[in-house]
Amino acid sequence: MKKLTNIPLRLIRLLFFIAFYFKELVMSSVLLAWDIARPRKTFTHGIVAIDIDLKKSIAVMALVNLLSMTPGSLSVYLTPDRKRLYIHAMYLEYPDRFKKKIKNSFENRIKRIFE
Amino acid sequence: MIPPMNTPLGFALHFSLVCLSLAYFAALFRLLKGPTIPDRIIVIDLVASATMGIILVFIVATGKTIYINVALIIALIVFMGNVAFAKYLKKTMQND
Amino acid sequence: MTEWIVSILIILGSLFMLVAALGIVRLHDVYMRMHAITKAASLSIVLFLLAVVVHQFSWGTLFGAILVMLFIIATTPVASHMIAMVSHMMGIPMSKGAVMDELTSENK
Repeated sequence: MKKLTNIPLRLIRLLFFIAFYFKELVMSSVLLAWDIARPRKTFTHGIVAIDIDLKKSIAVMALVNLLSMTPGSLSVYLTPDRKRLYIHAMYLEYPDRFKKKIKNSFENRIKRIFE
Repeated sequence: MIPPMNTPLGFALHFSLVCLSLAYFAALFRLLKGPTIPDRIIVIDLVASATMGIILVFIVATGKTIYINVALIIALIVFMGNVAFAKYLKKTMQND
Repeated sequence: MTEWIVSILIILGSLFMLVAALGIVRLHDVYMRMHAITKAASLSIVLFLLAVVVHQFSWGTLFGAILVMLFIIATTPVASHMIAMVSHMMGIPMSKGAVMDELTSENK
């Protein structure tokens, strides 16, 4: 019973998620264009690790795809038990803040839709 | 076929063809210079994107919408090619 | 009116393709070049597809365009993820300015 009432809400959230995905894609491309147009500078980049606790594999795939489209992050390696994800980040002045942003913003959003 | 330069659509089509051919030259530069093998693999992706762009511009210029299937096939083949290259590099690395 | 929208979409799409091309020339190492390819090139293809749909609207074109769009959006990150993984396994170093590499430091 509970599941039946949840389906429309979940569909609406999925639509919002697709809109969010396109917004992230546009923002990251604009940021990249700004970065390339500027004269040469050194980036503070690196590879950071985050713990994820998503159970379904489609949720993990959505997270990895979304992370590759967000400004300045690219997923590099996922451990075979799908518990730990390594990300190459381009703007890494504050690593703790970056990790917290991914945890709070993206993972919670995906958890509410798919699980 | 392409409208003249003083209409907005004609200007946009000419401009896009110039940009896409510059993308081909950038890909050629990185293909010749790129220091490592993955540098040369990601060139495939850029060339495929530029080719899909040219096909879509061609659709806008001529109105033959059937060619959108060509873009679909290119996207499919390039994904397969990337995955195959990744698997191949992994396998050769494990054998060494 | 339609003509203006199509022209703006095509110009924006070709500018983003130019961003991807300049990124692959100017950025410093493989990982950052992959950023440029993954984001800017797929956005540019999406904009070109929108231009085609606006210019010649029919349900068949809309269906084909949505199919190509979904395919690009779903598969480009996967392909770049695999190539980034392989290039890190091959031991390609990051360029100057790299502050941390937890993948190397945790697995050794």
